[in-house]
Amino acid sequence: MKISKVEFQNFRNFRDHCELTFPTDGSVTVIYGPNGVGKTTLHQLFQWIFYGEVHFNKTASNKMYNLDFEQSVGFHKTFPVLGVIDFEHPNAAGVVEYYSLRREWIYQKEQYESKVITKKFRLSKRIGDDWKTVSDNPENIIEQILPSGLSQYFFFDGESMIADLNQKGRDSAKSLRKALYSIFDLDIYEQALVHIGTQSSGTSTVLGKLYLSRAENSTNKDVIIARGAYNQSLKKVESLEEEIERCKNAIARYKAEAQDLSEKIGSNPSQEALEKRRKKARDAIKTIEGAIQREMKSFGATVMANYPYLLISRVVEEAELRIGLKVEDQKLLPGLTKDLVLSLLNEHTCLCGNPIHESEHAELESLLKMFPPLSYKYIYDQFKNSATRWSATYDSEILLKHLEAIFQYRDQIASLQQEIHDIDEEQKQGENVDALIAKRAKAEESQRYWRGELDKFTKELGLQEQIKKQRKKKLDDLLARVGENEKLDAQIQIIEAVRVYYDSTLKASAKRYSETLRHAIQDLLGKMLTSTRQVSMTEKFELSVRDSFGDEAKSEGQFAVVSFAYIGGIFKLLGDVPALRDKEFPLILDGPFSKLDVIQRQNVIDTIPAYAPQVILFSKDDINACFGEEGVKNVWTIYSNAERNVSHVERGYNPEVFSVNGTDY
Amino acid sequence: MTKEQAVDFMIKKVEEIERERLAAHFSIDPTKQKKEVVDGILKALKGVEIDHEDQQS
Repeated sequence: MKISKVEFQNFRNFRDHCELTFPTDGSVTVIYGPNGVGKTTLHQLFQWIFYGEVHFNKTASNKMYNLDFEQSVGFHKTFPVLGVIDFEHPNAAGVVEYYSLRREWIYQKEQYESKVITKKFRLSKRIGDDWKTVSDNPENIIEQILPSGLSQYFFFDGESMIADLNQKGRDSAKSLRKALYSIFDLDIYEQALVHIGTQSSGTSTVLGKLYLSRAENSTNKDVIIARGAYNQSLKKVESLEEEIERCKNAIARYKAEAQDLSEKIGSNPSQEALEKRRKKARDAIKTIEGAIQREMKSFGATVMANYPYLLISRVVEEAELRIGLKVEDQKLLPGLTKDLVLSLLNEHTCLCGNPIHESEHAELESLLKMFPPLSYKYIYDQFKNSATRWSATYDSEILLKHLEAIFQYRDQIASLQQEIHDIDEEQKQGENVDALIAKRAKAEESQRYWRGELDKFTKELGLQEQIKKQRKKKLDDLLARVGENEKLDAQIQIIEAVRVYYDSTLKASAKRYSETLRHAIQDLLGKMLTSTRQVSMTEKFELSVRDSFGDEAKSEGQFAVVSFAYIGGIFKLLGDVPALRDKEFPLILDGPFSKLDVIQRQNVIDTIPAYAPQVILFSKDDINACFGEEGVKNVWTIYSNAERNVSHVERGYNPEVFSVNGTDY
Repeated sequence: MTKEQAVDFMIKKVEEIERERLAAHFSIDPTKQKKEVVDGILKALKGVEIDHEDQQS
């Protein structure tokens, strides 16, 4: 598989839509981003799109959205988080096929935390010029193409690897063992061995059951007594094993509790810190209340500016009705004015020279009444013009925006009041340090008690194991004397042979894979380190690197080189496995380049392109020069705002970002 | 069948049963699952008929 494009919106730091394209010709891509801008988030995005799961600080998170984006959404409204990956992948016949994978989670905003209400997942395949949705188990297709058990190696976090190497690499060994056992089906063999068990492992295993069946079939009195005694021992041992498990669980629980309490003691906020937080929240409430006052004033001003229009438009409507009855346009001839009517009333003859009779005089009188002091028609027209003018500026949305802003401010106040309430609660519950220390002492005391119990039961188990062994030997002797049970003996022999097969296959496979991996790591370290280092790897995949004096590597620089060699070795191992040989996997590597010196860095960059058919590197350090005079061809840079909560990605190399150390860019 | 054939048969059978268990990994209680696997292997074993001559050889 090679990724050609990733597209996303509203994913953690990345509020706005971003799109990155990648070459699929084998050339390396570098994504630059200093601490805090969203480098890890972008690295995790790939896993979220493929598998719907991410881990931030080793904790699985469901909160994928950008907090700034969420704040802009109204309560109970929904909003999406989107991620798309376009990739190409050769089919069984070696023909390259093109896919587009889209994951979308729809959230609903609630008072305290938005919740996922819908999860959408769609895989499309390009057929000709069209994209067809793959409806037949798309998750399984992704699993076949990019097995989730190996995801931490396709999307490798070098920093975490270094932290683990500091702890003797136990976590890495454990998870690598799990991943490889799953990929090579060795977990099936491992579990089969547990279920087959041994002849002395009791009634919960195949061989244990077969052995007891053999004894149960006998009618010999001594065998019956010996079988009863052996059964008792089995039950006793099983019960002790359960007790030991219970003790171990209790110890682990109290140990975790003590650790948790230690952290609380260490991080227990002082009264002063709580008061500071409370004051901050109260100040914020005051500021928001001021903003509400301003919004209310603006609302009032908007109403005052627009209300006359509402009033006048109502008057105009009524006036129109009334005047409609009174004003008859045909009676007020065009051009007829009040002055002309008054002048005619004072005359005896008309302008045309004809006399003005009594009836015409009365008509003029009635016309005059229609002009007091201006015509209704004139007033109506004036109102109408004003109303039209006001209506052009009136916008109900403006009023609505003021109201919405007020509601949002009130929500913010409610949230801050809740925060103050939480601080009060924290203060109440935030047992004083003395109480926490007393609790921790109690948890440690409980640990001691359970350790004592564990010792007691372990000793008892040792004794009972001895008794069980003796009783089994006695039963074995008796069974040998009373003769063979052909069928059961044959069955036991068959299952013993099956057990030997699984056991030897498992051991041989673990040895082969760990040796292949060790050799690959040794080879890469030889290319990357100037001094000689001896790599060893147990069959449980525990890695150690020693110098010529036999001392283990300790420096972070060496661990960093080892982490690169480790991932390179794993890709080499995957390439050697027949079932995976024809598949191609990308390497999206968050590399600890800052811990390497100049020579190590160059050596690492020289070997990286050979690890996988596609390599995408995340780096906070400028590694451009390591790629020769032309530098890296495919570069993207992550930029962030001052608050580090809104980031975006731009194509191109920007040397300035490396000189602005610790500040925003 | 001969003992060798029986061993080969059981190796495949155990693997098959374990694969089924793995497929149902998230849906069944582990203790119950273990019991089912053990009983399943024993049941498969009961169906194996060993050649008498082979046993003697």
